Amino acid sequence: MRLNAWLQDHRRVKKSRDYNFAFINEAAKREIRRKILKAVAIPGYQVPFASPELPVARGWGTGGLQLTLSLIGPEDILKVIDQGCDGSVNAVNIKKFVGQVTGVSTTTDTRQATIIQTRHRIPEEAMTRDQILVLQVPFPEALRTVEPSEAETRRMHGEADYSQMWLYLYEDIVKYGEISIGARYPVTVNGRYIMDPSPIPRWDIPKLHLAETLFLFGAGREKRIYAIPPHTRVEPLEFEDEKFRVEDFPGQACQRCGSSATFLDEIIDEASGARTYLCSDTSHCDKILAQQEEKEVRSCK
Amino acid sequence: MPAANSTLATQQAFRILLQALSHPGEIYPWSPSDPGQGLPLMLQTLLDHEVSFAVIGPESDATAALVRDLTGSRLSAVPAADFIIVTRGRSQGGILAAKRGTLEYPDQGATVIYLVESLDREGQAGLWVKLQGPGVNREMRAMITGLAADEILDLQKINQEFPLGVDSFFLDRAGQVMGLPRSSLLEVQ
Repeated sequence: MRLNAWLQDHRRVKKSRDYNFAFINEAAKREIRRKILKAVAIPGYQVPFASPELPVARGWGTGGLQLTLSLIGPEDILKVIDQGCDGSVNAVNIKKFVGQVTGVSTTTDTRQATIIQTRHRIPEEAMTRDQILVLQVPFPEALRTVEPSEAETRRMHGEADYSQMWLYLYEDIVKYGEISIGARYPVTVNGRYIMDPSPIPRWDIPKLHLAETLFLFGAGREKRIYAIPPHTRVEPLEFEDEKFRVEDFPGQACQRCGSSATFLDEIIDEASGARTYLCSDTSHCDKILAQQEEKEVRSCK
Repeated sequence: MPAANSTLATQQAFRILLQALSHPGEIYPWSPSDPGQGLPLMLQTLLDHEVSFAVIGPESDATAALVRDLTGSRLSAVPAADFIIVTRGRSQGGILAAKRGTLEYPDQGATVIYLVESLDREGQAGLWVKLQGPGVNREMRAMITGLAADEILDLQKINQEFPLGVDSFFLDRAGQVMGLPRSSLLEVQ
């Protein structure tokens, strides 16, 4: 056995043994697991849960983190993204933390991962039925914009009384000519509950509809868990004559990989004011770039 | 009784339960190496002192003792129970009293664990059930042996006012499991 490899392994095991496997205690995990099952059974309904303290401040992905820690086992491969990026601070810290308390391996490849925790994006590549996407949610209540009282929004969901929400959308059209909601576009799940899909762009909404994958949503600060099971109808709110549409980037393409079929981030140079565009999903961008390079190498040969 | 490492055993068990409830009507291997451990493992994964349970059917006293010893969960009457275990797949209408939750909090509806003979994809001896709804691609059929046909009719009744209802798991003697959330539309064939 190589000494360095042994030492590395030893440190990894020791680190993960300082805590319970996956950090959270078993009783808390059981509660979260019971709530996850109820969330799956009632698609789009927000299940309250205890949301215990974590060594991460509330509002920094603790809801997603608790779901991930309750799901994860030693065989899993974890990917964490923040706004589509594998390398941003929130994603890296969460990945490191989960790695430390479980010893699981991590990846940036969407296809390889078994669990993907994400903040505000759904990966561009289609996910399979064996994968689980865990979304971090800041504001789980889609009706909060029109109704400040939790007791009242509970009643509204219970009775499927969504007239205020429809009125809000109508007024939005009257004011701005179209529905002005960008991220957090409200959807109807399984024809019953109006749900906040977390601040994903409109671009990602169609990916929730009749998907192969299970989507779990965790709001740590607001203490709510909800879910969209696979093969479930997810429809963005729209009117017959005012249809939902995704963002468009006319004539623009990613500066790095040249893709025009992905969700693009607009980057503005503060000095010159020039606008450039880059893929928001960095792992997908890397893949396309690698494919192009491979093609070039082959054609040179 | 608990597995060598119950933390990892219950983690794996939960993932199977989650898959089963996300794909209603699909049959998942649960504890095939030791089918007798199927129920204890499920109990350890889901129950503890924070929830209550009830048992309906033959050998209910022995099962209740097992649940209490293993999980520390509280025995209660059926209408108040968070988990209901139906031994031998027949509750004789007892399940109709189960908690269905309220419109504000439908998640308070009970979870029912049915112990049945076997779960199969083919055959004739058992009860064929057709499922549609979230988690099911078009439709799904499964055969349950050792479940009274009335149970499915009762579940239909209990779950007819979505989001109110109960969610069920079926556990067979070979150590297989199947999930049936309240969102599924059921038909006996």
